[in-house]
Parts: sequence; structure tokens; C-alpha cells
Amino acid sequence: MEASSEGIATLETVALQLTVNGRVWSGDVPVEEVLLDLLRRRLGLTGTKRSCESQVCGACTVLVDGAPTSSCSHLAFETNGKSVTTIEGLGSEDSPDPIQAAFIRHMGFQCGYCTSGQIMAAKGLLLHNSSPSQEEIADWMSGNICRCGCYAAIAAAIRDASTRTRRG
Amino acid sequence: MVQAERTQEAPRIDSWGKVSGSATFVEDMPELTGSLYAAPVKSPYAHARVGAIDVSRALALEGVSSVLYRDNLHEFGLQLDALAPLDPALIVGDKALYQGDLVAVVVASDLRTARRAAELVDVDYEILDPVFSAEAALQAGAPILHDHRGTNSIFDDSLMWGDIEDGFRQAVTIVERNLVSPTVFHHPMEPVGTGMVRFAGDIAEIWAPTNTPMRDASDIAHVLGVPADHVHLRVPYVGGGFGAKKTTREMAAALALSRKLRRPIRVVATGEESFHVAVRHAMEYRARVGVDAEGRLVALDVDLAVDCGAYFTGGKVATHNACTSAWGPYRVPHFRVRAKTAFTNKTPATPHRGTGKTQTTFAIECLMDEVARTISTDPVEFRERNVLLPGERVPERFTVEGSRIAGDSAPMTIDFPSLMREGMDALGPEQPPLSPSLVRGRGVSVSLRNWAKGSEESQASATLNPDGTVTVAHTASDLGQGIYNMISVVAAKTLGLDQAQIHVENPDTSTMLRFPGATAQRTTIELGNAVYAASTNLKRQIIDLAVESRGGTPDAWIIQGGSLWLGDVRYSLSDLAKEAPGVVLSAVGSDTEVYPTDDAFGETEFWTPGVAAAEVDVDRDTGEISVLRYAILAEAGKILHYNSARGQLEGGAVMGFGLALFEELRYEDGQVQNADAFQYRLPLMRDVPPSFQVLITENGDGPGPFGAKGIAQTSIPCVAPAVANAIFDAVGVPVSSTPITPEKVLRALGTLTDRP
Ligand code: FES
Ligand code: FES
Repeated sequence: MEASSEGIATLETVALQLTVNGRVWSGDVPVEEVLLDLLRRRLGLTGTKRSCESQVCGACTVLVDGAPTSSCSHLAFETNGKSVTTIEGLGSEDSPDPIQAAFIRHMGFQCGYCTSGQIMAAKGLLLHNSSPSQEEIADWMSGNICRCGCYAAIAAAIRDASTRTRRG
Repeated sequence: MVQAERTQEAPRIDSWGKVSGSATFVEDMPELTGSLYAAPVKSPYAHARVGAIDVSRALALEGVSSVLYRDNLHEFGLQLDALAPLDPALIVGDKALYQGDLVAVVVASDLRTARRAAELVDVDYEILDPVFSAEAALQAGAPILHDHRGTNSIFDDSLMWGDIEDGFRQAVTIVERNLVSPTVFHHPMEPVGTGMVRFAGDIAEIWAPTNTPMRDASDIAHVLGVPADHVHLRVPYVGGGFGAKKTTREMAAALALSRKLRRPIRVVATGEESFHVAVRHAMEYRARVGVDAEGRLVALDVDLAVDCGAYFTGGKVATHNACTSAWGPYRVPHFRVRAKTAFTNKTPATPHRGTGKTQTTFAIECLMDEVARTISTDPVEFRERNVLLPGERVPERFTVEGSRIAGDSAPMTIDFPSLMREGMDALGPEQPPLSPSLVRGRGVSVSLRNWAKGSEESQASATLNPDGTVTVAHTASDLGQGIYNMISVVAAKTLGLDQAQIHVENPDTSTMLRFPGATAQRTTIELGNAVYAASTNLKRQIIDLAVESRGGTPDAWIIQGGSLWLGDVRYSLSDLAKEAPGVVLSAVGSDTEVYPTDDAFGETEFWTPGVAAAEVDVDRDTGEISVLRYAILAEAGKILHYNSARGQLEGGAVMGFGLALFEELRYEDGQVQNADAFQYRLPLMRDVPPSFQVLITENGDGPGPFGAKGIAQTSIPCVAPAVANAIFDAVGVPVSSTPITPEKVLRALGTLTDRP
């Protein structure tokens, strides 16, 4: 493609339908568009962050059918027919999700840039294991980098949220 | 000493924004109408002569608006001599001095086109030999970076007292060591260099994550040739900085393009590009230390080689701080440090959390353990014997040329021996490791940081709104530390209001409120004092207005619990504000009202200690290191928000684990080898020790509001030496550079050697 022209090839598009935070979205997107760009640019859901763009840091984590996924490295069309949850799909200020409330109580953030990804990864963990041990938390969360170094507070928030949720 | 209690405190004011994804970072801001996108062209070589640059293929691409580069730079009306001569030029001229040096900036209608066009800029490079360490750069015959200088040496610095020769004559044991701290990257999670620019009439508007907005705005005004108040730099939420966040050359170039094209421009930096914007100074610390027959330090002589990368962006502060901290907190009667700073073909170094001191603390603290073990003394006991005790002073200080350094040092206020004991106790009783290949060890380290009120002023303003709330404006960026929350706490407490009644603005340089930058753990003290002064001044105005409209004497009025009181009668601030339409109550406060400016910068006003204790297991077969227990001790003066203080101390220590065990930008074969997220290993949750404690004391004697001090940089320097000393204790041999990798441990043990 580059050899034949100095221009940029027009992108092939595909029709896509998915559910984002409970709402159906459909439209045509370029085949190479990543889920992160679909969410941030087309849907204006800027709570999901861009950092390494190489599936290392977890800042862009969202849930795809309940499983934590690096949206920077996941093609948008792969979510066809699936359900995506982003940070905007959790609680509201008056009624936060238990994991958001726990992050506030323990101050599991400083700059906040990694926080959406941390919370979505934690949410995915608790969906999958409602009472994780300290080691399980550390293993699961080691795909989400926090350069501000809030790990101890994040781990405490996850333990706290899991205890409270189990207590009902 | 009073142990800080975790009291009931309100969550940080930025909590909901950050846990809901609604806190706005610059990339989250909506598109400005008609915006173009910028993409950089960067040198792929560490050192190269730049020949012809051909931009025709780039310009021919549909959607490309313009390219700024060496050959058309003169068309942009810039005052390029306003840039400091050793800083990077706005754009590369005839030589690229590091991999990532900025050769051109392309703007186009969308990001994809801009990036494609950047690839189409043809540059002729003649590759030159690079130099990657300060020591090598200072050798005769080394490749010279800045040709007109004829040398890579930038400047020398020194500090001394006593008589070094005399000191060594008293020594019965002399230890010599060479300790190395490499180049590392700050790696904030928000990429470095993302921003937006626009011209509104002749006002330059910038939205950028930077920790020095006022300085950046004034530099940009100089380059654009416009008055300082024509540059309005606004700082949204910042995704971490640690010293790396500033307004970049790409943004300055985008501004020049924006002025010419009359279009807004968005600059989108990638995580990978960020590695080529700012790094930490690498340092080599060569020391000779002497102790007398009683095991007392008598002499310490240090030669420092400081690697500042390709340009002088970071200034003198790293080298200077390294000199002033090269002796640790010890009683050394005869001391000398001589530092040389050199250019190398690496990313330009900038301040990095605990600038200069993190490197020297690693060195002096490893050295102290080595000396202690050489004279068969317990390292904690050795420190107790030699550390400055409360009431002792640092001797008069001189440069090696003999000029006296201004200012006296405040007497020591820190009781290091008891902090060290507390740290060791916090590790709990010693237990054997779980497997026969493991050896266990413990180490301690201490650090000392001074604070002196510099000659720069900090200001804040407080304004009463018609609804009875108060808005505080300032120009201090919150990079995650909780600065806006600190402002809210101080203003509420000073004014007698609830935190819900305080609005804290984001930094906006059009307010022209001064602040030197959220660096050097100064913000709580200096900005805190400015907010305290502004709030006190506003409170006086409010009470004066109350006296005018309701009578009574100023002394009879108080503000408490969010309302005004005259005896038992309560008045609301909003009623007061409404009854005086047209009267604006607003006050600016300066930290100089609380604490005078010291023109002869250098005086130490107070000390903040860092103390840490670590326990590690080392696998003698594989060299693998696990930190099992870690305790941080800090003295905060007065805690304004416990969770923020704890967060800063833990966060500094976590970054410290990275420096101790993983982080190094490796330069080999003419290239940086690991400048991307895959290969540059950062600390993860599983790297946090299973036992991780933070112990904070509050002596109430800090110079900040309500007795607070800055503590943000006290935990990071202690980590690498505490861990290194614990490893030394476990395996019996020292490792003399960070990161301490399994390979280095095995080499130190002699079980891994290069094949002949
Ligand atoms: S941005 Fe997706 S993993 Fe880092
Ligand atoms: S809160 Fe800053 S990176 Fe995690």
C-alpha cells in the first residue's frame, strides 16, 4: 500500500453493533480502529485513558463481556455483538459502585490517570472472584501500572470492597 | 515525638472526578473548532550531523498544512536568542545530539495524516560517534556535542569544610568505593508532551500538563516575542510528572505554527515518545572515606561525575543538590566533594523526584554499611555513633576555591537514632527463610533534606463569591500530590469555612499569580503559606464589611462552621455578600507575609529526614531478590491530610523499588536499548512487599501552615540503599550500582562470570 502511493490508503470500514454501558451503538468503523479510539473519539467516553498503547500498562482497561480488556490493543470490530462497560458505566456520585466508594475511602489514587483502568480491572476481578486473597489481588492487578505507586491503597480498597459486597 | 493518627478526614476534593473518569486531562478536552494535529520528526540517531532536509513529499500529502524545520524557521517571527544557549534550540540545526532530538514538526488535518507526513520528511544524517557517560565524555578525544564549546564539560561545583588531608592523617581505616546510579525515566502514566494551543487575537493560549506553568509561560512569551501577560497557560489535571512534565519544544513549535496558520493545534504525544523528552541525571560517586580507631568518621572525599544528557535543560540543581547531600546526615569533620557535569548523547536530564539526592543517598548509605562491616561494627550502631544528633550543626561551608557559602545551617532537629530503632523494630522479630537456597538480610538507610525559602515568591488569591463561597486561584499544578486538596484544607481552616464552601481553581497564568513550580517539596509550605495569607486577608475584609453593615467591633466577629457570628447571632456569608452589591471582596496573599524571602539562598531553615528499614530474601542460586518487609519513617511537622501524606510516602517508596531493582535506560551500540513500555520494567503491585508500613511523626515545627513541612521526597532516596544494605547483609558481598539485578548479585557472589 505504501509502495504504490505516498498518500494514505483509504481505510476499509466494517459495520459494527455493540452495547456500551447498557446502550446499543451501531455504526461503520475502520477495520484498524482500536476500541479505545471508538470509545474516546466517537462516543466521547474519555474516562478510559491512553498511555502505553501496547497492552502493558492497563490504563485503557474496560470490561468486554465482563472480562478486563486493554482497549488500546483490541480492535473495535472484535466487540461486535458484545457488551462493553467503561468507567462511565459504573456508579454515580450519589450512588457510587462499591469499588469506587472503596477507592475513595482508601484514596487508591493520586494523579488519577491510571485509576479508571485500575477500577475496571478490580471490577473484573470481583466479578470473577468475590473474595480474592492478597496474592490473587496482586497477581490480577499486576497488569495495571500505577506510577504514583498507590498499590497498597488499591489493594486495600479491593479487599474492603469485596468484604462489604459479600456482607451484602 | 507524636505519632500521627489517622483521623477522620474528608476524602480528597478530587476523589469523585478521579474514580469516575470525569477528571479532565488535556487529552480529554473537547476539540477546538478547526483544530489541526501536529506530529514530530525526531532524530533516530544519538549523534549525527544533519545535512539536507527535504519536506516536499510531506507537503504533497493531502491534508498537510505546514512543516516547521531548520530551513524555514526564520519565517515564524521567533526570538530564538531568547532561548538559553545550552538549552535545546527550538528545532535541530546542523546537528542532532540525542536519539529523539526534534528535527521538524508537521501539522495536518488529522493525526494519522500528520504522522504519515512526518515519515515522509527526508533527512540526510551523517552518523557520528556518540558518548554515553559523563566520565567518558570528559576524557580527551571524546566526541564533542556542542562543537563551539570544544568540551563536554558544563560546569564544576564543590563543597568542603575542614582539611581533607588532615582528616585522612587521623584515619586508621580507609575505604574506597565507586557507586553508580544510572539514567532512568520518570515515566508518568500520562504521556509527556500532549497539549493544545491556539491564538485568540494576539493572546497565545496553551493547555498543557506542566509543573512549572509560570516559568513556561514566561519562556514562551520570550520566544514568541510577546509580553508575558499575552501567554495564557492553563493546566488541567496532570497524569503524574515526577519532574518530567513541562511545556515541550513540540508545543512551542505548534504555537509558532498556530500563530502563522491562525488555527488551533493539538499535539498528541505517545508513551514511547515520552522516553525521549526527559530522564534523570546518571551519576557516578567515587569516594574515599576514613574512620579513626574509635570508629568515628574523620574524612570523606567524593568525586562526582554528573551526566546531564544532550542539553542543559535541567540546570545546575541536580549537581548542586548532589554536592549538598553527598555527606548524608553525618558528622564528618573533614569533607570535600568535587562535581563535574558533562554533556552526553542521551535524552536531556531534568529534575527527578529527589533530584541529585536520590543518587547520593544510595552512594553514601551503601558506603556507610561497607565501612561499618570493614571495622566489624553493626551498621545501625555505626550510624548512631556518627550521625548528627539534635542540636549539632553542620560546619561552615566553603567551595574548594575557598569562598564561603552563604547562610548558616539550622541546628539538627532530627533524632535519627530513635527513628532507626523504630524502623528496625517495625520489621518485627527475625525469622529464618522458608527454603535452603534463600538467605535473609536486613538493612537500614537514612537521608536528610533541607528546606530553605528561596528568593522566589508564591502567591494565591481568595475571593468571596455572591453565594457565600470562596474561590482560591493560584498557579501550582497538582500532579497527583493532592495540592488542590491542600489548598482547600488550608483555606477552609483559616477562614473558618467548610471545605464545601471553597472552590479551588486550576492553574491559569493569566492570573499572573506567582509560583516557582510544584518542585523540591516546597508546595505545602510556600503555596500553603500563600493560601493562608490570602485567606487571612480575605477574612479581615469580610469582618470589616460585617462591622460596616451590622455594627460591632472587629474583635467581636468570628467566622466559624461556615458562618459569621456576632455573639450568638449567626449571619450567612451569602447574605453579607448580597447586601453589598458591587463590592468585591478579594485578597492576594504571599508566602513572604508569613516567611520572609531569603535573597541569599542557601540558608537551611529546617530539616526533613527519611529513614527506612528493609528485609529481603535472596536466592543464592538464581540471584532473585524479594523484599519481604519495608518500613518508611517520616517527620511531617503537621499532617494536613493524612491519606495524601501517606500516598506521597508510599508512592515515593514504590518508585524507589523500581530504582533499586529494575529501572535503567541502557545505552549500547549507539542506541538506547529499552525505551518502551515492554522493556522498561516498572514496579507493579506484586513488587510491593507483603509487609509495607508507613510511620509518620508530627513535631509541629514546620514553617508551613499550622506547622506543616514538605515530605514528598523523603521516602524515595532511602529505598535503594536500604534494599542494597539488606542484600549485603544477606549475601555478605556488596553490589555497587542500581538497579540491583539477579545478575549483579550472582556476579558479586562470584557464581556468574563471563566466559573467557
Ligand atoms: S494504554 Fe492500553 S495497556 Fe497501556
Ligand atoms: S494514580 Fe497516578 S498513575 Fe496511578
